[in-house]
Amino acid sequence: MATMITEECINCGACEPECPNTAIYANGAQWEMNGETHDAISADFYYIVPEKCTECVGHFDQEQCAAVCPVDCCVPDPNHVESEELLFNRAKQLHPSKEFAALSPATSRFQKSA
Amino acid sequence: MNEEQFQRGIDEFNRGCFFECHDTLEDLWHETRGADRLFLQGLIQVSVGFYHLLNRNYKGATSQFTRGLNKLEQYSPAHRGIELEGFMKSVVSWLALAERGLIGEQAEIDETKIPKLKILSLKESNTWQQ
Repeated sequence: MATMITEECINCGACEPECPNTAIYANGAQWEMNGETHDAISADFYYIVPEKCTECVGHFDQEQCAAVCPVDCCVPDPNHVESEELLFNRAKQLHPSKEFAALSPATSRFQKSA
Repeated sequence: MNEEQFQRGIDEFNRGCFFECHDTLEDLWHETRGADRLFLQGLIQVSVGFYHLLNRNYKGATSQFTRGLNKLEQYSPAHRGIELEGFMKSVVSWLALAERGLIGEQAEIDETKIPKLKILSLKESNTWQQ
């Protein structure tokens, strides 16, 4: 995962419904994956679950959380730089019943800058 | 741009309802394209800056004030009937206070000194446009 929510977050919740992977959770809310529930990663701000974030690769040409955040607090995490290939593979694992076409500028920000 | 919604956001800011202001202007921002989009975002970020400052989140306040000022700069001295030059000067002083807070200098926050968004009269608006 290479998108994070900073402490500038005002907890407005605009980002949560936009995430195609349901990787975003409200502060204090438990998160879920593969039927298992986990403790909240942040009690103070909305947070992105690293294992569920694909930077929207496979879905959109830009991170949807960042696109809808008016305070620009969904930002690249410099400590977790991940490749397009890794992110795309994660997207396929998260959505096993979805058929993903080959990546294009419409479904990967990496393709836009290529 | 929905003027009523915009004015409501301005009013909420001026009443110190910074979260509500951000909420109102955010809805408007989502629907807005073109020249006003960054203007609205700048106002939202300044509003959020004050929200963070009042909650003693100096890091959040510093970042939001800086981002907001950078966006509003291009609209100065006024835009959409809102005076910006004086407003931004005031926000700069609040940014300085937030920066001092970051290094441990926690000053008293006099909320009565938080600037208001001033709606210019038609005459004043025309003067700015000359």
